[in-house]
Amino acid sequence: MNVILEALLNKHFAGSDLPLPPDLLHELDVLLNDTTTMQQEIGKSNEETGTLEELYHILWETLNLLGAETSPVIGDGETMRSIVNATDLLNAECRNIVFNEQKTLRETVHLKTIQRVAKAGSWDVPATRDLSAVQNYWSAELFHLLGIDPSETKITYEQYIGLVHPDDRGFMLEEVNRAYMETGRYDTEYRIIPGGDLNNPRIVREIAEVIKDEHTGEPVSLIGVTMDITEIKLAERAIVDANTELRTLFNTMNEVFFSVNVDQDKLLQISPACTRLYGYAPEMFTKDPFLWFTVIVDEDKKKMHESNLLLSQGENSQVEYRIRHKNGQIKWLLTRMRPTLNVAGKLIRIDGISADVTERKEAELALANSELKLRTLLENSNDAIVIINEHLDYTFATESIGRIIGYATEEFVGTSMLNYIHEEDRGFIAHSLLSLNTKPEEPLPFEVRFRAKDGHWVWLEGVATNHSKEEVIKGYIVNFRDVTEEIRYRRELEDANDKLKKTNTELDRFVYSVSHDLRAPLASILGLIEFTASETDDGDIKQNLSMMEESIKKLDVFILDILDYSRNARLEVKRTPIDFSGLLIDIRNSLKFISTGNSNVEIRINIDEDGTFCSDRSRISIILNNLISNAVRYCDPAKPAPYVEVTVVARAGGALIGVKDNGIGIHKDYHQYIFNMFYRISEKSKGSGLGLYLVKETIEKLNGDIQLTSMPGVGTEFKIYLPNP
Amino acid sequence: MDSNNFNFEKVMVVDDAEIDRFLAKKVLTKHAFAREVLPLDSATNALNYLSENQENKEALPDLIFLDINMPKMNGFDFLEEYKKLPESVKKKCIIVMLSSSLLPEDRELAMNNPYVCQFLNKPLTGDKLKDVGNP
Repeated sequence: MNVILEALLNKHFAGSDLPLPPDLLHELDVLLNDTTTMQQEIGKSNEETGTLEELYHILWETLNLLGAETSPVIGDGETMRSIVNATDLLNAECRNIVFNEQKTLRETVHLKTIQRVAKAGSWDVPATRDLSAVQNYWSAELFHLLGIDPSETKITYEQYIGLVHPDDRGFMLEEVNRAYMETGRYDTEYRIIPGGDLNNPRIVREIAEVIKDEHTGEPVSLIGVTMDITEIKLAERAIVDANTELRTLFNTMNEVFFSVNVDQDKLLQISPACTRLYGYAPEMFTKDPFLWFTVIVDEDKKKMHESNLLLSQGENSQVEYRIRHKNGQIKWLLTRMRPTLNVAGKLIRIDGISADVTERKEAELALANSELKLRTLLENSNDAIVIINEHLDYTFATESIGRIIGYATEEFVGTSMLNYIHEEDRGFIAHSLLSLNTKPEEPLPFEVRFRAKDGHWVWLEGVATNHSKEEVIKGYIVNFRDVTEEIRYRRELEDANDKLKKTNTELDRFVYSVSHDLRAPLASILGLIEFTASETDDGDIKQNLSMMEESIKKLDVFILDILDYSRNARLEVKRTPIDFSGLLIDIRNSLKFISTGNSNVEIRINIDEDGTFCSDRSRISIILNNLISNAVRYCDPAKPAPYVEVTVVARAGGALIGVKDNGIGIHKDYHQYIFNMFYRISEKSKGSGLGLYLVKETIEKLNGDIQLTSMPGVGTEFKIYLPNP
Repeated sequence: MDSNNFNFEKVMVVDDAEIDRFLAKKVLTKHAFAREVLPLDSATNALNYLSENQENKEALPDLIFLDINMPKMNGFDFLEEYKKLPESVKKKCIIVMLSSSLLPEDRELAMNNPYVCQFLNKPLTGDKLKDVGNP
């Protein structure tokens, strides 16, 4: 029995909060029952007085130990009664203990639950000099927090420090020291590393108090609570971050946020962006609650009144208006506002946001302006623009089609292009439009007959371009205009031109065949005259024949000139490399046949050519033939050495030809006429009057140029330039 | 005039103009160019003659003066048909174009023909005959 009591008391004095083990409680219960039994027996027998004395003392001792204030009553013979009293007392005291133990048990469970839920562990460290060696008391939750199995580990203070985050150990120990030395308590936050894992630190708050001896004031132990506040901390930090972000946004956004207490016309808040937007700092708006309205340009103030009406009805509003910035600039603002009504439905608060939309607004206005301009242009133009989709239906038409083809856009759009196009043009236009798909970058010009609303055919001329890849168009853009008059005019012109060309060709052919047919009999006559002359010795006959011959030759030259003229007009320029040397030899030889007794004229030829010059050989031949034969024909008989000098410089770039003689020359009065058709200076002129005309015509055909220098009695010089095409 | 000194034995003149055939005969005879002149008034007749006498070497001409501008079949048409005649004929005959045409095209076309050896402009004169046959 003593042993049991001893254990019980030891526990009691240790101040343990541990519940009594069930077996101990049971033992105690048994003891109490024994004592009660003994009490009844004591009343019946006096034989064991010594033993009773002993028991009595033990009881008092126990009572004292339990803290009863009574002293034992000794030697009055009422031992039995005293024992009974003491037993009663002990009984009550033990029940008290048990009651307390049970209460402690409940509280302990309670405490454990609280600790688990709150993630708060408690502990008790005896205050000794060498903390490292002392074993601590840790609540179950503290073991849990630190990730340690309580059944396997005996905890020392040193071990605990090992589980504090290395970076936090220093100040944590300082806090403990300071609590011992000065403050008596501490409340701090630091990190622990459950299970020694540095990667998953937890943040704890620890509140501890130093328990001091009542009498000596010496520290007895340090009792504390350690709470896991990691989640709280993280949440707190997130809130702080979010707050900072919001604040930053509020301060730096270009938009102005504001809240107004409508009841008191008081600005609750306005974001600093107002300084940029309005040119006024937030304080200015606070000071003058109507400043925001004052800066609105007068024409737009009405919009704000309208918006207020909406807000007072509890509806959101959105207003676009102009303000005058402090610097005088006009700015467009877009303000969105949200009203708050009170229970009575009265507007009490407005929250809003204002953005500077000047750029967008100006662009919009510019666009609207240019759109209006474009529309006006289109509607008043003589051109029409339509869009045709891939099925050849009209999807858009400018109103100007009314003027051109008589249709209103409403009745026109949605119909098929093929309804209106003349059947002869239909295939062409449909095919051409489809061909644009393969080469979309090429515009397609067209001319079609189109049935106007009044049933007439209208000629339309225009251009189609493929825009099928563009989302807004998705088809061909076609612009056109009425060219009916032009086409009619052009047709007439073309017809007239064709007729003229035909007449011209016929005329040329006529000239050619007439000349040619005229020549043949002349040649026959010339042959006969010559033959006859050779058959006779009669001087008169010979002279007559000679005059006939001369006359016929003149006629022949005339015909040849006409032939050359016809050839020049009729034939295309045919370009080949020109060999001037060979050409001039041919010309000199042919001159032999036509020269009329002026064979004493020296023909000098200076040629500088590299074979790169190209032109029309027969035309150059006409030019040189005429010029040289003229020079021979009109040589100056008074001069001892008549000559004609032909100088040619021919290169790839062109040819310079000079034909110079010392003949009779031409008076400057005639210079302007000598290239005219059928112009002859005097009756003495032997030619047809076509020669120089032909020269000029031919040179023009070759895009060349001819210059004349001539003085009577001195000579004549023609300078010709012919380009190399 | 030495009867043994003719340039050619037999010369054919193909021309639709009587005056030209007449003149040619006179000039050729006068200048002892041909012992015998065969005047023919059309290309068709000329071809017929050549065709008929293709085996008769004696009857074939040594030289033919051929006009260009003739009705129905002109000188160039004649040359197209002439091409088809046997080698024996073509070997013997020398063809000289004789025309009043001064068109370079005519001259060129004629000179490009393998059977034509010369191109002369009318009228035919003694001077021009000097170069014929020995170009």
